[in-house]
Amino acid sequence: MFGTLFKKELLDHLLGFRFAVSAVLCLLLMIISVIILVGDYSARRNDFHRNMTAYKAEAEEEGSYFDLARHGVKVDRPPAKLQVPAYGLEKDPDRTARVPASGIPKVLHELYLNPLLSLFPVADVVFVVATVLSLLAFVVSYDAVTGEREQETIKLLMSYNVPRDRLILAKWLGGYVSLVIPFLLSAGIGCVVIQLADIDLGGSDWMAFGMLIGLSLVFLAAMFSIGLFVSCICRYSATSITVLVLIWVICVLVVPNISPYVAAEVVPVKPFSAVESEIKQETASVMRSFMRRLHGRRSELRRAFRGSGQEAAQARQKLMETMNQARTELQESIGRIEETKLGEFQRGQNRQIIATKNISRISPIAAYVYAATDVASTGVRKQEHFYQSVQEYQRQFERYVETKMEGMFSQGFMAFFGGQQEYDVSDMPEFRYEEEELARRVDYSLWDIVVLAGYSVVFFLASFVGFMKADLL
Amino acid sequence: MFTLIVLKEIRHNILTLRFAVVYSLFFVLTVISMVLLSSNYQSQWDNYVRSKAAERENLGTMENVRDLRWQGTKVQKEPSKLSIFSLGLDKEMSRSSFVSSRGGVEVGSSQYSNPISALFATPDLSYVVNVVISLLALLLAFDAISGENEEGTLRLMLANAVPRDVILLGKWLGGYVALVVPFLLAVGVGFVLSVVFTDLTLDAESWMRAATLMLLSLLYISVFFTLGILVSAFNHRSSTALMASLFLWVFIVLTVPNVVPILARQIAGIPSLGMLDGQRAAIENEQWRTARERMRSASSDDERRNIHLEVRENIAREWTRLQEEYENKIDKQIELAQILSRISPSASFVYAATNISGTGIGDFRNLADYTKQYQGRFADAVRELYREEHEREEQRTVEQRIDDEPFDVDRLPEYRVRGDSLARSFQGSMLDIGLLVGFNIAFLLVSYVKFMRYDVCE
Repeated sequence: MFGTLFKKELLDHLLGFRFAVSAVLCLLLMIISVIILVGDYSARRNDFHRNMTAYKAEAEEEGSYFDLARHGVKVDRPPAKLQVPAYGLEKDPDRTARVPASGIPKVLHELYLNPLLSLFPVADVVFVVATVLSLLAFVVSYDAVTGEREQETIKLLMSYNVPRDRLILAKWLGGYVSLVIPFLLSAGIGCVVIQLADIDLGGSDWMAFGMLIGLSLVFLAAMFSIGLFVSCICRYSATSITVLVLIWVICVLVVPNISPYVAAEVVPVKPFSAVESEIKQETASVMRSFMRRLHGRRSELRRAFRGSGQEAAQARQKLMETMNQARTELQESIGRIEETKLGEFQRGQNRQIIATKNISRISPIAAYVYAATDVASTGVRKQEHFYQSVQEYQRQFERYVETKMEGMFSQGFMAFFGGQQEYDVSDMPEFRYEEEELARRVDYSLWDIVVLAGYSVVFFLASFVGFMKADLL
Repeated sequence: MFTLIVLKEIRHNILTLRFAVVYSLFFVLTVISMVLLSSNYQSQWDNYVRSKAAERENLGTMENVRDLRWQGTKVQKEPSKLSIFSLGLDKEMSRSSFVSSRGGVEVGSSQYSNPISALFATPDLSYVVNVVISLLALLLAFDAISGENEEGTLRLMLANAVPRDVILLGKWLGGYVALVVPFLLAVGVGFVLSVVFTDLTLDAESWMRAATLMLLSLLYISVFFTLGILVSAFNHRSSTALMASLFLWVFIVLTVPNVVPILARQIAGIPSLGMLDGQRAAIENEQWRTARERMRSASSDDERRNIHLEVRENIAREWTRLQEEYENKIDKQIELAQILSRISPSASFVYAATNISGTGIGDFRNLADYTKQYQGRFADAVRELYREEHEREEQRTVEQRIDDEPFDVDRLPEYRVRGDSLARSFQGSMLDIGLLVGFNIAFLLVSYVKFMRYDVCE
């Protein structure tokens, strides 16, 4: 019985004009998007390798470890392997950070670049699923019940000995399968394209890819159930499609987009420019008091450098030591100022991000996008992780420069300042960015996954109950 | 007769559920979007004023020109007033820049630091029009002809002595009026609420820009409404027309503008920044290498100094040339993306709307150019101040020299980006406006021809 019902539903969908249009649209969009984004990935990877070589050459050009420590090395954020299905925040054009031996690593921005990516969203798989397929889910389901009622075939069906629960399950399954067939097909083709292009996805990358597809299926189930539910409670197909378009517009085009602006009202954060000014002002005042202290000791200085003999040399030595200490203290206090201010800003910002996410999660699309981008490691979490990796690299770099400089010192004063030093950076530690482990990424996005699963269960139950109580005659 | 059909269409449209839903939707949306974006503008403006005051204070506390030389100054563009309608690239353009007299320009981070705002499109009015209202226009138009055909009323109507062109035009006008009057109403209400809740004021030019933007929106909405009629004239069944409309909408609004820029990046690739740095370093090394040989053979210190200066000039010139070449490549890439994406009226609308709001691609370029130029002026001013201070110091004894001497902050050039005038902005978007008009005419003509041959009996 269930088999017959399911087969009927499925065939009903597969043979319709709507399925043809949806399938063509889905296949076309997904394949175009995958091909173009694969090309984008290889271009970015080439850029990345070229840049890293250029940065290495720049470091070699520095000529002394002292300059190297002061100027720092540049590192690039490598393109995310899973940017093809989930582009996410990869569209952020600022990919380079400068890492000095001490102080805060700084992301470099360009004054002029191609701004078009900030003007339009990127059509990746997540975008296609979240906007186009969610719309198609409604298009497939809006008349599942109302249509049959209007054609009065449901009367006929109910006159047989068919339990309602079987019927709704068959309707759900038939419609859902017809919705996901084109998606799975195009996802499969996408996998082949990715495999053919030389993006070497490792085991955990494929796992993340699989999870991405799983998340998409859960998300589509939620959207399809919403459609079925609305179809159960509406009397006419025309009403049902209108209500669904309304829901779609609100969930897809409105809620996620306005949430950052609403969150900015609810949880305001001091703007970054203000933080920058504060840092600058406080640093300048610390600097000034240091300079003043230096000025205060200038007669002492003069005496120490003018004098000769054992005593003066000792005084000189002592003076140098105190000055060095003062300089270290200065650097430390500047570092502290930066750290406190930036930490404060970061905490405020995180509060705002959490508020944004919580507000937008009333839409399943937002939960889906967060989960998908975080699992693919192109989301908000990735930014944090990249920054942490840069800081980790900075520690390595700092240690490297310090040991080199100590070596120079031990060879004597003249070797250090006289420019006769050896300078060889071939053993400089390289920046190797590793994505966060998949388990931790999943752990981070667990809440979104739970919300998404919750939506699909709740709406499935709603459509089930809705059909049980629907007045089919 | 014509007015009768128009009135019938308007009534028919206004009194259905579909319209009630559509109206309430875009009413709420327009109002929310305008109030949120005005409030956003307000806080951006406050930030701007505060950061400008802080920077001035910072300059005031500097004790001498040497401080200024090594610290530089921070500049920031004031937020664009029209960003409440079309935020466009204002997110990128809100970056502050550190300008120093020696190092050049160092660009800071955007004021829109919440990363989630980069994950989703900005919900400004031009987005509402571009994405939401275009969809709603299609939804209102897709069964204009096919619906009446299915109900059989079209046959009835044509049985009377009504020319088909009058029916089509009447349908177009009635439906369009029923669509845009509520839209304009919603914009009006949104504007009033924005004025009430945030202290927003517009000057005469902003008003003109806002009005132009509204006209542009009407033109764009008309493109989609006409497209809906066209699809309807091609189909005898509303359900088919609906699917076809959705297909076209997804393609025009969600696909072309989102795919083409990435495609253009691959077709017209630009060398990576690292390569640019490498080329710069190569030029520098080459210049110094030849200079060293010349210096060795130089006879006097003066000659050596001249060679030194010459080399510096050469390097600066070569670097500027390199930078210009690089930026030209970027421009080519942008241009290619724009040309390709213009097959979609949605892209044209975005280009024109951001252009008119002063938040477009041209303005982005202008800002970069202005900042670079400002850096030059700033360096000149600092050099002048430094020279003067130096001269004064010469006249003093050694003991007096240490005293700090604040400089006159007003001697520094003012950083004030002048956007294009409205006439220039309008000129810059002529092509896009022309394309939108062209789409309108083409769609109307095709649907006219198709409706003339529409087989009512099917």
